[in-house]
Amino acid sequence: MAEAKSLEVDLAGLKMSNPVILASGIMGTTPGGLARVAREGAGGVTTKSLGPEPREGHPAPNVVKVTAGYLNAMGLPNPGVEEYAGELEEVELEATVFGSIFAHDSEEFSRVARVMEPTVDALELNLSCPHAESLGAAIGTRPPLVEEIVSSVVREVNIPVFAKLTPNVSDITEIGRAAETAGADGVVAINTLPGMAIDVETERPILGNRSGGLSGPAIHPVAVKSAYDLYEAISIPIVGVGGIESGEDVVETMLAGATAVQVGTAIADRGMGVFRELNSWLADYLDSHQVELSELIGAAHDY
Amino acid sequence: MGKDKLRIKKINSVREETPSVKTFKVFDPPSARSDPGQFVMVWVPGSGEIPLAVSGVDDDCVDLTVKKRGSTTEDLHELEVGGKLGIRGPYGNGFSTPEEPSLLVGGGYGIAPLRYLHQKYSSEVRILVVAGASTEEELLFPDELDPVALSTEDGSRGFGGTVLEPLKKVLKEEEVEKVYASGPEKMIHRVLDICRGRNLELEASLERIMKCGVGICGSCLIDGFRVCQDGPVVDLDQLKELEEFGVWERTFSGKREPI
Repeated sequence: MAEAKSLEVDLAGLKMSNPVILASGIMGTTPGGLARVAREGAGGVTTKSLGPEPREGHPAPNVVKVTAGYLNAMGLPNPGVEEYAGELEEVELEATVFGSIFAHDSEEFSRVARVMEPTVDALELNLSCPHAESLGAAIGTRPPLVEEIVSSVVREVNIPVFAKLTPNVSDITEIGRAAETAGADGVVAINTLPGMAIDVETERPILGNRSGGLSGPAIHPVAVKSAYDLYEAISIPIVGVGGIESGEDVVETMLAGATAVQVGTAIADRGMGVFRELNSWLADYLDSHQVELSELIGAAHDY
Repeated sequence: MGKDKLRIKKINSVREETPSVKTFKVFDPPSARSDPGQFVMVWVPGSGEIPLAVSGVDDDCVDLTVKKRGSTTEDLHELEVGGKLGIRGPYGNGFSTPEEPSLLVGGGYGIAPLRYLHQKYSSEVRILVVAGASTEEELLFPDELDPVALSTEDGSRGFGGTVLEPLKKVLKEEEVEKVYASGPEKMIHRVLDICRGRNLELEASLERIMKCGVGICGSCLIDGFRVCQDGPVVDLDQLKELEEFGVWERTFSGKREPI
């Protein structure tokens, strides 16, 4: 009998036990939440995005269920990077830890990155939150700004730096190239798409912030296309994210070009067991197709 | 979509329970099929969204008992019959069915989910109630629940102080196998100690800041336990494993603060 295929993956030098990573914004509000997801079998976990100061986030409702997904407008709630990093130090995590950070400009990004660096294995720069004014996507849609921020953080820290990209641009590869030029070790694509839900009985927008970001199966094809296009455009690793809920979605995203994937909203629909389910499906797939995990990456580009 | 989809409902009736607490009756079959202890997310249009435990069921209507304690609950208190609410859920898990002599201990408006438990099972099994409130006029459902002992913080009725003293007294005098608790976390933390010391079973309903209700945003985490999905009802074995329980709470930003 052939030996079971390994799910281990090397992502920009990070050795992970499997390619399924918890996406930022989900369960990462506290280090205790990250520890839980690590125990549930994720190969990596990403913190909630941390900024220079504490933020309470947007008024509720923060989440609305829509067809094939969720709209959310959390508004980057976080206790501030110092507070979070202090708490993270107390916790042992059995997974690769990605520290997601946001800030207003390159100087502030660098400062937040410095505080985060000692407690995480890699950084993810949130250049793409669609519903916080003057943060996130306001920065991530401009290639020169992306380049400036990424290069400033890369100079500042000695751990891998990933840029999380917004799909809300006419050409995501321009932003991907800017990140690569600036020295990013990889990109994460995609963040949520802007969306809105209005209640017809009260005639009001439902979210407290009026509009928010769409996640879940509705955006999965957008994520696949983004990974596919980025794979053609850049040579640094791509982490695929957006509506991944099944093992098939993982393989599809890797065939498009992703080295690893992130999972978030699927927890709402599939529960905390989703990490083990995806990995077990993936292991069966590799076995039945007699293919190595690394051979999947970008394989759809052969056709 | 199912239960997660927002349902707009009109308020059928409003009852003033105490100077700071009202019960809103709403026709909503999905919530009316909830188990005692489960909660719904309630949107007050133009104001905010809050988690509320179901406090009773009457055919296809649910009771939502709300204490005025912030801007959204204040706006909700202004609503009258015919006013519109958005409801999603029910979420989380409920209390197990009481099968032996049981005691319900409720602090303040925390007694709301216990009232539904009492309503559903008190004709089938012996259920005693111990209740606490800030003052006599803030005692909730006194006629319906007919507490065997009670406390008020100002001593205006029953024991003066917390609900713990009358609880200990009743546990000494009555045959009880299982305790169901709901109220402030500090109170539940002490009730846990009392139950462990007496080898009693315990189930408690926890309350934390909740934003999504569907187990993803992380606002209600105690260690890695999601109160909205893994709770809000927890048993004694789960409670004693939670290191942050009764010690740290989380603000809206996720910052931890001592309870």
